[in-house]
Amino acid sequence: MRFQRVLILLVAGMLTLVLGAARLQLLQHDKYRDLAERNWLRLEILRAPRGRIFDTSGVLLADNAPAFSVVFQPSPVGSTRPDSMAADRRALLGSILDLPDSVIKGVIKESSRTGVPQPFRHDVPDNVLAAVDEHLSELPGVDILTEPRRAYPESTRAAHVMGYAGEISQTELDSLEEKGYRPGDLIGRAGLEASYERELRGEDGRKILVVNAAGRRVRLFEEEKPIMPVPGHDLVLTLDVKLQRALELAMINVKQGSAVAIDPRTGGVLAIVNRPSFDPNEFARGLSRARWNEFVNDPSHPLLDRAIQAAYPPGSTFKVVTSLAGLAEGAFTPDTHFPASCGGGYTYGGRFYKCWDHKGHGSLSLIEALAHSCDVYYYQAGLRIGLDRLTTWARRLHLGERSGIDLPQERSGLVPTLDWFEKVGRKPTGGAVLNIAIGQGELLITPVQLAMLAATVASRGRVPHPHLVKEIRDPQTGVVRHVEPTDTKTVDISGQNWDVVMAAMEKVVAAGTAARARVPGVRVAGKTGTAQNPHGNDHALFIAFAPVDAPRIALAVVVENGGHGSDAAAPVAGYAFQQYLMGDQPNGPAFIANPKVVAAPKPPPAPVPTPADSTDAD
Amino acid sequence: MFDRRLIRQIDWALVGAALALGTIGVLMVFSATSVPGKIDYAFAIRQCLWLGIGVVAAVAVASVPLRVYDALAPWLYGLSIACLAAVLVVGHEMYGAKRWLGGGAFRFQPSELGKLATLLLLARVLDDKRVNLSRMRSWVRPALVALIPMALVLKEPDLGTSLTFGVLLAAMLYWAGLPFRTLALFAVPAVNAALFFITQGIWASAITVLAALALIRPRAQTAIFALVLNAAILAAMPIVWSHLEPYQQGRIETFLNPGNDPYGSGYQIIQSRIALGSGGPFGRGYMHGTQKGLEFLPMKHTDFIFSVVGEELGFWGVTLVIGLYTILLMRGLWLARVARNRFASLVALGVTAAIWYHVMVNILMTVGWAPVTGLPLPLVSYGGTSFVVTCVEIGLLLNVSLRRQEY
Repeated sequence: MRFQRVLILLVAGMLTLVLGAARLQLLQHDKYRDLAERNWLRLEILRAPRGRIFDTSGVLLADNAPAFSVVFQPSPVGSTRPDSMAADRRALLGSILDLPDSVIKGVIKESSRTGVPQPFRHDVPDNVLAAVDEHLSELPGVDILTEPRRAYPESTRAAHVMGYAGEISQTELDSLEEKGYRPGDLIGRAGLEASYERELRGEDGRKILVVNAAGRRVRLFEEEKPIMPVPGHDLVLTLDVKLQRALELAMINVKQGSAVAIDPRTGGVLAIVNRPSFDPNEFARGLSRARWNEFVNDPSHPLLDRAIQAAYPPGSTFKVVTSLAGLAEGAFTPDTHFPASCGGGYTYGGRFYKCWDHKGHGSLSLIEALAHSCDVYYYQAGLRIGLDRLTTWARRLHLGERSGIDLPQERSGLVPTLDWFEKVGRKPTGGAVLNIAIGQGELLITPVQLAMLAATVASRGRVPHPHLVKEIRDPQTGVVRHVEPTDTKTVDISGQNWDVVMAAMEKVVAAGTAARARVPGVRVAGKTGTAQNPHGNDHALFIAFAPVDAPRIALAVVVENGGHGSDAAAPVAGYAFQQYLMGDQPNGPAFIANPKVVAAPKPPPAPVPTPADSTDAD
Repeated sequence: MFDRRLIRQIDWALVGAALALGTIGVLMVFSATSVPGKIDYAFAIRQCLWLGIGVVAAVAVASVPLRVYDALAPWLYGLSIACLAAVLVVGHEMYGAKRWLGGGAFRFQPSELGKLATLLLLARVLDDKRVNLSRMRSWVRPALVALIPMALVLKEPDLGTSLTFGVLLAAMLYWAGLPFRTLALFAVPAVNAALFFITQGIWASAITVLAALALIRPRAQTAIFALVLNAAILAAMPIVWSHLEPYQQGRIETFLNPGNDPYGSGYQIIQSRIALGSGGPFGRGYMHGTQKGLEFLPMKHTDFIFSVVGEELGFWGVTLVIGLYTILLMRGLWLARVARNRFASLVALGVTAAIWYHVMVNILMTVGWAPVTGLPLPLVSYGGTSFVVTCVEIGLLLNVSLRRQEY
């Protein structure tokens, strides 16, 4: 009796054990196998290298320079491995990385919450890295990862063209997650980095690793083949670093301004200079909030891509448009002398409109008027053409619309057509056309539009729309895609009329306001401009192209508060033409008093260039 | 040493099951302490050594006539009580508990010796012809014999081992003739204590007591005694709870609700369940467990060796091990039944009860059905004192089997 009872108890106990094991091993096997796998398998993202950016001759402008960061590697979601670190381990890590415990705790908590490795420190120097590596076995969960990092070897050069790429933010992630972005990814935020994000980005690969309880990689999980990353495509630009360097050197003393050079044959942008500039490397490394605020609150707006985002009154450079419009409409001929000869001003509607030269120009033909930029001539030309026809022609010359350049957030500028007046609910005054004819009034043109105006004249109205990228290369297959646009937005103006305007613009340089843009042995055509600026000194402008017989470069220079275009802007163009068309000029631009200041961290204020023999600026 | 007649009495099923378990132990300890590419023979070699020592100890124990143990029991008991008291004063502390005497290779757990001595003394006390277990007076001596070491071990603290003494007491009292009803009545306080921890209230416990009384309907005197005892235990429980070490409170709470604290004590239970569950019916293959190999499983070669068996050998390996224990325990129980000598019978039953308790508590822990107590799996877990003591117990069983015809 007792034996049987004890026997039953004994056997019942053993059966309970078998039952307990059977429940786990037979009934819940799938669940626990899954949990075990979550424990020991970790998905690791193989980051695709971002596409590089080259200038037209292969100079590297944007590259990848991986940085090392020390991260906390959380356990996979659903894993039972704890995301925690004992206090003494935290203290050890803190002393190696020179971080307070609160930061270390915060990082562990955050990575555990998000399930994504979070960095304790970015960009860890080699000696610290070695110390971490040495103690890795005592630091469960701590890992060293290479972070994709953008590097811009030319630093501030063409910074606005490059833009920058940085680590994706949480808000960007929220809206882009379905496009496959992950925390830690790089994303282009400005310039080409943003506009060609899709090409540059590439496709991340992945591999599955076997990890131990400390989160340490043990080996590759052979049963699942790693998916290799597909690198992003490289961009080859039309930009010419040599010209870019020359233009930047020529503008070194310009505090605020912009210059754009375009090949009138292709529409390819050869150089874009914005002053002031910034170092995109600083953004790639990650900017502190304070530094970011410094950039944003800087009154000179270093982040503004003036070439496409700043619009200026074109001043007398617009007389090129007025001339073309008048000729095309038959409002006047090259030989037309208007009734009023220039005595320093013109009276219209009971108001006196000054010529910039109070001494007056006398009676001029169109070519002479453009060469000397006579305002009185163009007041009458404007009246002859009329506001509607003049602004319509300005629009036909693609002013007041985005040029379509492959950079983000381009502004369209403004041409005050009748439609525009109607839209804003204003009636143009009778004198409005006078101001517009000389490039004042409501007109607003961006530097890239000005450069395109020069390129349009240079190409006789056949320039494709401006662009920076000429080729997109797949670094894996070597396949090259030529992406240069071929669409020419032909401007319907007769060859004769183009000739007239080109001859007039050549005279501007040869015998007019732009004498300082002359290049020995090269026929240069141009037009100066001085835009009235209600907020301060006038802006100096200059558009030009060269050589006149077979133009290879068209240029626009804007120097904010630079005064006269003939003094402040034309020399920049002259130096750029010399560099681009004649080869290097080893001494640097002669008009910069001491080119050595180039190397100095803070260039001294712009030396006032001595007005040469030039009769004026418009 | 033995005469031929005795050798023919050797219980080969018992010896075979014990040796098989010991061998599985060596193999699993080797697997648990090695991973492919990082083989470590040190633990396996030491476990082999223990196995050898164990076999020698068992043979030695079996070769001495049982009445010698009967005579030695009080002395052994006295020595073990002295050791248990000493460990509280000068013991070696590990994991927040003082359980070891001595140091280095000569470290041993007095509680293991205490278990053996208590078993022998209980058998001796209950062997007394004058014992009449239907009288309450007869319980006092055996109860004292068990409760003194129990209290000392509890103080170390080592809850799991201290309960061994309770199990020994209950099993041997029952075997010695205690009426089942009375035993059940006294088991109620244990159930009560558990219910208190689970429900954190006294109502479930009170109902259990009344239900037990109604069912068993003991004599008035016993009923009153039982009621008083239960009431006292219920009153004492909150005090006991507050005196438990934080890790003990944590273990009990974790056991009752493992999800609450998955990265604390519950971590061990969960990893053990994953190891067993992921093993499935056929296991992941010897030496190929990832829970073990990648160090998710804590104490994988000692307390959680069974989880390694489950992970690598699967359900069939688990069944084999449990089956071997069943053979071993059934032989022990059978010996307790057939031994003509009352002392021998009680010793056999005591040994069976002690091993059964250890196997139950350890395996229930690995499947997540019992709290983490730190009791090793007899004959399989890596370890010195407990391994040798289990071998001595097997030796006692062999001793009984050799002389079962003797009165």
